Amino acid sequence: MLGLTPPRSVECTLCPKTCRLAPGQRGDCRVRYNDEGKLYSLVYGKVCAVHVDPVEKKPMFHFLPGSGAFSVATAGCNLHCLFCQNWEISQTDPEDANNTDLPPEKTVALAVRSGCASIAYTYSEPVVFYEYVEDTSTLAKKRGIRNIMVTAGFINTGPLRRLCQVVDGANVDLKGFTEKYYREVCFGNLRTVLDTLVTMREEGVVLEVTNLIVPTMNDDMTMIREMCRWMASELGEEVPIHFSRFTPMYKLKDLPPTPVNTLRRARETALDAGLKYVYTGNVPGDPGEDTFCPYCGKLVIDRYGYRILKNDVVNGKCGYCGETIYGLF
Amino acid sequence: MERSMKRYRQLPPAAAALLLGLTLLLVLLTGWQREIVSRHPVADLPFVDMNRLKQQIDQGNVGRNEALYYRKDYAGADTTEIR
Repeated sequence: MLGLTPPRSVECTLCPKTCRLAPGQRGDCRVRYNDEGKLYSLVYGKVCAVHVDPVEKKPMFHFLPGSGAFSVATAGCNLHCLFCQNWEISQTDPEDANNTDLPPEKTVALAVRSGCASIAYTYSEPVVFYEYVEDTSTLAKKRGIRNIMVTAGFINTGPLRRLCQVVDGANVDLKGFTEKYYREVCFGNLRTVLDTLVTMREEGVVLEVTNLIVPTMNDDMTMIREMCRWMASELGEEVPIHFSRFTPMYKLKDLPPTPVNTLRRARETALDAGLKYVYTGNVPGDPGEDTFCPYCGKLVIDRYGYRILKNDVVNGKCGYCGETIYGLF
Repeated sequence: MERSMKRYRQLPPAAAALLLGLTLLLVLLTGWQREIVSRHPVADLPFVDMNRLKQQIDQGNVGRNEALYYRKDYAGADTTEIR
């Protein structure tokens, strides 16, 4: 503009926030910054959380059940949900986190050594450590290890499609179903997340959805019905949804945990809307943890918490009626 | 007050125009700069403490890898995705 463009400024195009950064300024995600006209990631291979989890913890109930997921996270997130359950790492600068050097080669080697079937990019927000996810996933794929993203899905379509080439499964948080909720509670927008879900489905990623139900904030059954109808029509009835229980955390400590009955009502609502695999989460022992064949109605995967008690899915089909069960088995 | 108003009225038209022009320019430049740096709804994106960052990079606690997906010189027409 009038030749007055400040030199060495950049615009990050990874997510819809499109942060415009002057030299020395960092993005809203805290982990990408402009150094004299180049955008740098501060968290590539700098992991602040690493753990071997059951894949059910992601939660992924239709992705190699009973297997281990080598789980990694870095600091930072491009959303700022008031209820964030991992805010200690997601809402902190990488300089303030205690990071471990874990380059892609080492991450994959550790995943292989620990007998994990997959690497999960989780806990915080893999979108903000995009380059690390991509490089690690590419290497992992070559070693026969699958890749899972646990994400809020707040990413532009171009980068997302590229990542889908190496990511096998994803659990996407659909935090609510109104723009107002996304704007005021999460500091993002709904439209982007819906686009992400559709794109991932188009790209053949094994998709599951999580909806954290926060009392008084997004527990309206009319909204939940609308969300499930959208899922059934735009993603397909077989995409699983997990209604997860909220624990008072971060900036919403004054709210109570989600009543179990609310989760059960949400589950009934989703089943009524036509979804075939509907789960309750963070309620160990609840019948809503199990997988039932949508064709014959038999219990095919019996769970307690993250443990598999019985698995009657054989080669991706119901062990009783032979119909295909959605997912990767 | 009355005295200062009187003085103001006594300003030569050229000086008054210059003063007005400078004020407008200042407002425009400030507004433009603000728009450039902060199109994001978060009005004031933070700046990195460069000394601390350098220290952290040297210690290996944070990395410094060029990112994918950004535009250099965003006010320009170049929309090439680069690494």
